[in-house]
Amino acid sequence: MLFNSLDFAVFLPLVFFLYWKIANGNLRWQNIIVVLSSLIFYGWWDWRFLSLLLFSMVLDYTLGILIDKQEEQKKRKRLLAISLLINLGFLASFKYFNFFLDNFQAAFSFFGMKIPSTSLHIILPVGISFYTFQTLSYTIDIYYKKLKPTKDFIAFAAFVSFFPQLVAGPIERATNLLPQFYTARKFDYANAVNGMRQILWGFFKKLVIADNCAYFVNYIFGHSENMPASALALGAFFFAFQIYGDFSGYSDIAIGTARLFNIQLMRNFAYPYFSRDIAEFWRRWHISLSTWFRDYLYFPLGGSRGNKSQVIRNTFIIFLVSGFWHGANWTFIVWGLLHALFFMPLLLAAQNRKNIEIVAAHHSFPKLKEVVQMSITFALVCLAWIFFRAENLTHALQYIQGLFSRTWLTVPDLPQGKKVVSTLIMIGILLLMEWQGRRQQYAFEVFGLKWERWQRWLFYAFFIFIIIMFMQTSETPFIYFQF
Amino acid sequence: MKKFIKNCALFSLGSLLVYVLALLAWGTWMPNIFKPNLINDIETGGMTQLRLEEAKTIQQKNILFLGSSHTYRSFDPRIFEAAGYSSFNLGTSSQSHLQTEILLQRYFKQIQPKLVVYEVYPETFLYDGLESGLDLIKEDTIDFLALQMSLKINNIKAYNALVYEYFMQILGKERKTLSKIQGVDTYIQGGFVARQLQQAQLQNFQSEYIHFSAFQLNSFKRNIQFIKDQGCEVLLVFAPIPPSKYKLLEGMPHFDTVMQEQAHYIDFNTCISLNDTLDFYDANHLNQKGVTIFNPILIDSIKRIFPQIKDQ
Repeated sequence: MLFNSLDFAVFLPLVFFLYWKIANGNLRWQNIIVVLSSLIFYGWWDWRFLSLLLFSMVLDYTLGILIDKQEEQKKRKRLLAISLLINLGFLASFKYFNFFLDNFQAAFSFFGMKIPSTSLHIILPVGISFYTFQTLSYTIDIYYKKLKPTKDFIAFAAFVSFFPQLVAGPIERATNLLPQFYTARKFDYANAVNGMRQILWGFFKKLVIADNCAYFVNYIFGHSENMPASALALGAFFFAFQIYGDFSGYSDIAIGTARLFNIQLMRNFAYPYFSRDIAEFWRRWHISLSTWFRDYLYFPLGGSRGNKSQVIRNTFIIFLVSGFWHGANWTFIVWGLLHALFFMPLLLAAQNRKNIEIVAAHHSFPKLKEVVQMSITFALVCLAWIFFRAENLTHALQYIQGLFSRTWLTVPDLPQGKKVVSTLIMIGILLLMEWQGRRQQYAFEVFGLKWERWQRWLFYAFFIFIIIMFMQTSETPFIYFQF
Repeated sequence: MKKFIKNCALFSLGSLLVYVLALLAWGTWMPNIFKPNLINDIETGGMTQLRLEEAKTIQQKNILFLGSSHTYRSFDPRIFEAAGYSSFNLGTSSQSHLQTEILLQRYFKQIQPKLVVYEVYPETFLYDGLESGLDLIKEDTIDFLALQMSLKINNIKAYNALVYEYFMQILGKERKTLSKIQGVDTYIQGGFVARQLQQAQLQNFQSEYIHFSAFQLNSFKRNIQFIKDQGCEVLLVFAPIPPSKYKLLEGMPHFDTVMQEQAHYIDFNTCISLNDTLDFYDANHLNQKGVTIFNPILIDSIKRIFPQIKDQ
């Protein structure tokens, strides 16, 4: 079920009603409603894959208890290995099987040996990368004794399957989300209103920014061989906002929806395009994934302890794994590699934690130096996005080659050219609003807080009108569903 | 909780009011670039406005033509008049079967045709119905049928146009009247659009696979049934398209079978020898030379299949 579908528009109020009215403050019923509605939400896409989700739940619930009971370190490690092997095994089979097979075949044919092609048509279960990482965080935290396992299977199932973030995150930690299912939730008016506001902002990002950009991105990347450099640059620029609007929009809708049930999810984006360097970008982009890799991969590898070469190795590993997490294609690995390379000068100069606070935190406008820094960072991010979006490495390289052709001044000839202007204006509005609200959890939060109610409502109603007037009219799936 | 639900309801009502007011203001004053989801310009290509205005005034014609732009570009009422058939052409741009349904509901009983020539271009069975739907919303009356059609199209552009035109209708705002001459096109009484003689450029056509969307096919079947229920004859016509384009259509045998199951059906692409460039003015439509070749052959077919139709 997509957030931007009529199905969800009916589903959400129904679940909201059942959760607050029928459960009526009863913890068990609240959790049962969360689990059942989440299974319906997931099964709406393809009910056959519910078995996979249910299996993951039962497996990690059981292993969590067994790891905790086990005193012997060797046996604890073995149980954790079972959890890792099975969960990552599922992920590998569904997501990476054909990738490994194709590359295996390519490697053999490079040495003149032919092996028959046996690629399978495998359907990737939606959100498998997200819920797999979420359940893994549970068993790993129990292994490291940061968390006690739950005996309440329903609460655990609610943690794994909570529908707002089930298919595209934020990837929650058991330490944050699971305890919220231990106590009955009480309706919080302010939190629910805040949730509605965040949902509205998420829809603006998704329907107006991402979907409009997607139209041009698909066209430009689909015809890149015949495009002037100006159009290719525009394509990369639009893709940067497509993926940001799409993914951060999804996160806003997810976090906002969770607020309606008085559940707090972690923040996933913090104005990444206002970053002054790549290190800051990675503290602001897909926070739930980057911190997951930091906590469960980077730190166990030694993190920033050890000598310089170890730190460099660890950094490369997390960037490459992060790239590979996004999909079984060399383009994602190169995307990760590029970010690692962009990160290296900062790491070597020990400048990677220089920009912690949001830009111009205590001023209205950035300094010229900060504008230059943000522009360079954004340009580097856009360059890497080309690999992320391209069909394959050849396509990406050909795209970049085209960017350096002498056609920068050619006016791009795109279908629905007038829409390019309105899309750019909408991106401008997004950036202005984000700038204004950059000190808040999400930008829209800052608007109207000190206004009279009628002014605030008028503003929100007009904002809805703007969404209706500028949204892309066809229902477009979220990009991150494919990961 | 109660306060939240009450405020949500109040906010929804207020938003509805803001939406209507903003839509009217936006539609009236904003340039097109700022209203991508509100299309309220007059459609000039197919001259639907003039055709529907005329449709409201005419009565009792022998033949009613229905279908897409192939209809108002291919069936010339002057040629039919000369052969002794009174006719009216109710084709509209990209008319899908959903729109044919609404046109039949609105105009059939008034025109009382003895024969409906229903043009069936395969692509119309795949249309979402938006383009033609907007055409009808903008140029015709907003009523319950228009609302039903918008719900079936289920696109924000259709809803915006419906609300905008409905309030314009209530406020009694006059629509701008379209001139009968638009560039190289001239509106001919009877619903036809004649183009100054032009020939087509050579085109690179690509193969197309013909299939049906369920909701368009259902509308189509309902239309046929409606016409038959009124005691009227139906002739399904696949009007000529450039031969090179026709050759690349895949799945024609199945298409022919589906059509033949519904009513008398003639695919004129297999009966007439036309030239891609000399008899067409673009990749789809006959030029006047092509029309004068095609129409007499169609008239002969009508005489043969429906001898009872002619009343003069």
